[in-house]
Amino acid sequence: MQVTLEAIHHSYGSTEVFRNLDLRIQSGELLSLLGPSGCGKTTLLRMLAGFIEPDSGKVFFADEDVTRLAVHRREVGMVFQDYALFPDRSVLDNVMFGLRARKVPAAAARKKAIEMLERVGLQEFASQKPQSLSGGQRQRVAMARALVIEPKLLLLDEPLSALDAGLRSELRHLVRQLQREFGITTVFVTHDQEEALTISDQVAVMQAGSIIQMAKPQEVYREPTSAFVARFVGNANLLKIRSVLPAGSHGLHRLLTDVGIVLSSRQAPESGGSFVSVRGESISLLEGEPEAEGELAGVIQSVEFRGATVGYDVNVSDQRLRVNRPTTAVEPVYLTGQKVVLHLPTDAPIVTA
Amino acid sequence: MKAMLPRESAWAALTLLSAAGLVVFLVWPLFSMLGMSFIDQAGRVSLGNYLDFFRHQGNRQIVLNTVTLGLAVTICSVMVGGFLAFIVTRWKFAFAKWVMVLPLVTLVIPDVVVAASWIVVLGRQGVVNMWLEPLGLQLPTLFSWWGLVFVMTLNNYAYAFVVILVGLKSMDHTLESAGNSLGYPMRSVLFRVTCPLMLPSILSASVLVFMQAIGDFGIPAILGARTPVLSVAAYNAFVSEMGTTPQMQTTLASVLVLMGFMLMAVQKAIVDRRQVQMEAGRPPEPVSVGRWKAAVAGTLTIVIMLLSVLPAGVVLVTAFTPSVGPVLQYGGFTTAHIEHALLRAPQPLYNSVFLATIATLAGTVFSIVAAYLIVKKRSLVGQAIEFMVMLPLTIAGTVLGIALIHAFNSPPIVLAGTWVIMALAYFLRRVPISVRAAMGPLHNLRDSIEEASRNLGVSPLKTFFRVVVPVLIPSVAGSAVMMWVTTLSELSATIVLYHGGMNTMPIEIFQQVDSGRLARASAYSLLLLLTIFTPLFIANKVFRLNIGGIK
Repeated sequence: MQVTLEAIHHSYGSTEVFRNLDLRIQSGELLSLLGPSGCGKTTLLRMLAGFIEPDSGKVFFADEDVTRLAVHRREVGMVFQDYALFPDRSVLDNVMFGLRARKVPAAAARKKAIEMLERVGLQEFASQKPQSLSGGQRQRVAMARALVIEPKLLLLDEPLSALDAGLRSELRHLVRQLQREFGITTVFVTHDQEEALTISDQVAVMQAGSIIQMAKPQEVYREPTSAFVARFVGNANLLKIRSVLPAGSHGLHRLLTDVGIVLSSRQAPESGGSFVSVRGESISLLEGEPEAEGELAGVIQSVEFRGATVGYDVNVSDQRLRVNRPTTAVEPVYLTGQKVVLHLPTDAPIVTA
Repeated sequence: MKAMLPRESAWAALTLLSAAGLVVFLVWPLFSMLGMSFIDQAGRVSLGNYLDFFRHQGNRQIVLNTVTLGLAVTICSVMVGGFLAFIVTRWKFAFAKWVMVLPLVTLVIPDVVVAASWIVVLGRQGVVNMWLEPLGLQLPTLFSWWGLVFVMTLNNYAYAFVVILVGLKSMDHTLESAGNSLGYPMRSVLFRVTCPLMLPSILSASVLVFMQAIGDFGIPAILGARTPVLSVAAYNAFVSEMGTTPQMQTTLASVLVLMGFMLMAVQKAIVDRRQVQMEAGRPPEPVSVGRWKAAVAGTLTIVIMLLSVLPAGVVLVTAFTPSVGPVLQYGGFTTAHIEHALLRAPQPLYNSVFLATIATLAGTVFSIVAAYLIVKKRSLVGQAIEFMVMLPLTIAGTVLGIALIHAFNSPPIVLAGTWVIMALAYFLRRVPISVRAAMGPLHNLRDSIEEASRNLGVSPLKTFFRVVVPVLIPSVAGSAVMMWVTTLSELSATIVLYHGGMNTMPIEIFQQVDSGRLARASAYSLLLLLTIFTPLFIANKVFRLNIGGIK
């Protein structure tokens, strides 16, 4: 089912949350709403569920205008951040709850609920109360409860944020797998960029109530359109462009930045106010002194050995650049205080503030 | 910003209805009484009534008595209750577990029964004096300061015990360990760390006990003939209507109300501000103590327990003891008193059960709705409901009775002389506790639980019944049983409001004691205790409700 938001305006008291927000989610797609807390992503999700009615604008499920449709008539499954399992009911009763609300006979509801519990691997916990389950198990019950009603739209509100890292990646797989299997249009709210990038068909990056970039995960990562996205997704180094110098014989643009001259295959606007966005892992390090234009001299300020990668803070012209290098047999691990040469990629995107 | 009313029309209507009910049946009577006290006999607004009141030496003495009695009972109760709470949480000794049933037992035994049974034991013709007589000795009279303070302490220390116990149990044991490791020996830690942390609990326990003590009617009415206090004086002014003016009654009652308000202000200004946020942690474990400490603790516990449950034993024996006039003939056996109470004049029992049941049913439904409106459907009117619903906690029963009768003995609403006004008094006096009991689990019920239900296809109203009510049931059922049994022992408001044929059990007991028929009073007391403890027992054993107990 395709979901469309049209010209949404919404305020809490005098605080404007959305101004003229548009969004279209393709049928069967998993869209992540990614952004820092307070950016409006949860409000948007709750608007889709029907808990919040927009001040103006319209919400469509396929062609149906559901803007004023009551929550309980929307056929939307939701997984809450705190799971919101009914504490006085068993796991099975929790999963059956929505089916019974739809007047499914007890026996049939029970059968469906058990099948769904098997699907999430919790059949043997059916008779237990939610309190006796671990966080990950509760999360699975919440998933089962939302999916068993065969919703037209599935909403997940930071469903993995309370879990530890290992469990998070396991459940991420489960969510993705179930979502594909059932083909449900899904909206996934998160502030974790890695989560958004791994799970989604589309990522919508939100800032202060606006969707500032919406694209496939790889595109959001590789081609951020703004400094905010570049920084929020993947923690890029932003090198402020002071001026554009006359092109050299190598055919590349010469950009004068805070850290020196950077060569780029991309056109930068003359007007200024833009940055070269350089990912830490696209910078390579060598020992020695710079020999050509575009190479930068730096001093290692700190080293963080992480196992598969090594993270460096490198001081370049009093600016701190983050560099991530894979741990390989050939590349040395540099030491604090060591002088290095930085090679920047020439295809790094140019973003505006 | 908070809205005036909840957004949904059904909840908005309920909010308005609840608020209107409280204004008509609680706020209006109370404030019109307060208002009357500021209008002198010539009909002018003035402080004349208060000036007249305080000009009278007898009245000044009454106020002084009330405050003195309140302070004495508070100090004794906090000492007894605090000591018990401390040894129970910190020391291992025999009978320590038994102490936990004390609050329940002492809080539900009606004050008239306690007073009556202590007269049987320590009164002029009491058991102890009978033993002492051959030795040529006599106890000082129970109808005096020491009698009042002794009996009222036994009746009230459990409040202090519960509040201080909760305080001690919510304390993180690492704080004491920290004090210890920073260089204080353990006994200094107690004074430097524990006591300051417990101060808020001790202060709120004091406020609670003081409020109970100055509002109590049964005990000072029976034992305090020589030491008149406000609650009894207000009642006397009310019954001897010929002798006093309505101005005098309302002024007397208003002095008591204003004292309650002042105490609330003290609570807000001092106690609440001193409240410290403690990180939730494990409280210190009880430790083994030396043999003599354990022996002292065990003995004191047993003594306090015996004194607390003694009234029950006394009424059991006395109910079957033959009597000639006021003189009890111990050693004999008769069922005459029980027969009288159960067969010949059982009306008080019916009345009590009827009124308590009506008030409890109404109170339970109301408290679920009110708690939901206060906690979940936050609005300005909802806030007003919370304030109004807690108001009766600060008002002595006698005062509430007088306020109700003045408001409802003339049109537009006439309730005086009907059972409705008695049920209303029961309802108002106990509903704050029920609402609080329902608010607790609602605070813990996250909003997302209701949202999940609506999201799964259940309408908001059905969600209330399917998701919210089930969560409330254990706590609300417990408080309903508690409301029922404490209503059965209510005396101070209904003694003002009852009329011919509507005697309740406590009123009957009070009148029997008043006319010196202790055996008959004991028979009614025994029936009342059975009526109170049977449902408590069933609720605890059969339905496993946690009532009055402390987790």
